[in-house]
Amino acid sequence: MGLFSSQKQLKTELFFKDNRNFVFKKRELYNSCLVERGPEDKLIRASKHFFSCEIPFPGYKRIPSDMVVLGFSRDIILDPFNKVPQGIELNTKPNPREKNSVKNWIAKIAENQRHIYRAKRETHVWTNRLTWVFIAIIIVQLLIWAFAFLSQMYE
Amino acid sequence: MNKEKTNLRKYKIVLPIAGIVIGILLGVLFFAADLSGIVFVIAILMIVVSSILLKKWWGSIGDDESRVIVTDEKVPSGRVNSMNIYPDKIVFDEVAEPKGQPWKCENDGKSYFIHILDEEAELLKEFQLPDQAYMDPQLLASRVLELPAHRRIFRRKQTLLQQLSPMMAALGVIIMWIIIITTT
Repeated sequence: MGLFSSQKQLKTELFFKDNRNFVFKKRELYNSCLVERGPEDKLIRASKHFFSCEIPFPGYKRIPSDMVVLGFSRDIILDPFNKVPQGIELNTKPNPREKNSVKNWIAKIAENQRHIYRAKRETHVWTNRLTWVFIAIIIVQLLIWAFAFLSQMYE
Repeated sequence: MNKEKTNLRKYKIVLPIAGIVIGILLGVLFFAADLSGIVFVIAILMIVVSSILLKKWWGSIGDDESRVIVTDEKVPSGRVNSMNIYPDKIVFDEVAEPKGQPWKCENDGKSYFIHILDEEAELLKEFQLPDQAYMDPQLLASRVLELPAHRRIFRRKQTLLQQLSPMMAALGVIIMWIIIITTT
């Protein structure tokens, strides 16, 4: 973990809102989902990301060119051209007409997530950060001490 | 244009390094020539800020969004009235007879008609969002991806050394201050 570094991977989403607004926005790709984070880094919104749904966008005005995925505020998948095949695996999308299909698919995502958490087993991040802040202070102190030591040598 | 970007990338390395070097020189000068205390504060600030900038910019060297050439489609230079969604491209274009009601683009604050290709009729039609078919995005985030209960279960128990590390580091800070005060 770095104090200033960010390991986030970003993807451009063409996001449609309920109020007939749309926006090209960079979103974080987190465990194969495009997510939006709120206070304290909590996930507040997520939609499933499929590479097959990426569409080339050449750019316009100040919006840069990129591969773009479509998304909207009410659902987790927007695939207007049916590029993703239906199924129960994670690389497919469920059949919305079959209730169990959606449930099983969501359960697979949750199970996958559970395995990821189990493998990562996060530690208390704030204690690590605090330690790094103290280490930074010690480095600054060492610099001060070195300056003082050098100045004494010159005198 | 490319030359300007190459120069910009060079500055992103050279400027912070120069800041650190100047900061160190100012610090040495402060003690050697007995200058005002503000010089020392500026020296420390220069070193810290330059280090942060170097760390931040070091990762982005080589990043250049304009190098992404995703399609041969020409980007319209002027204002157009529509955005068209095709299976293989999304383009802003001028459409003679736009369909439906305009949508507002939050990136530039202008309104555009949005069309999508009807693959059977091979014609552009008005873009309409579907209703919810799968799941609410907020539920996916909070219940499925966050898994708060599982996170608590799987949280790694810290060793005594890890638990004490902030206190040990704090102790290190105090000891360093004592060394500075007593030896200078």
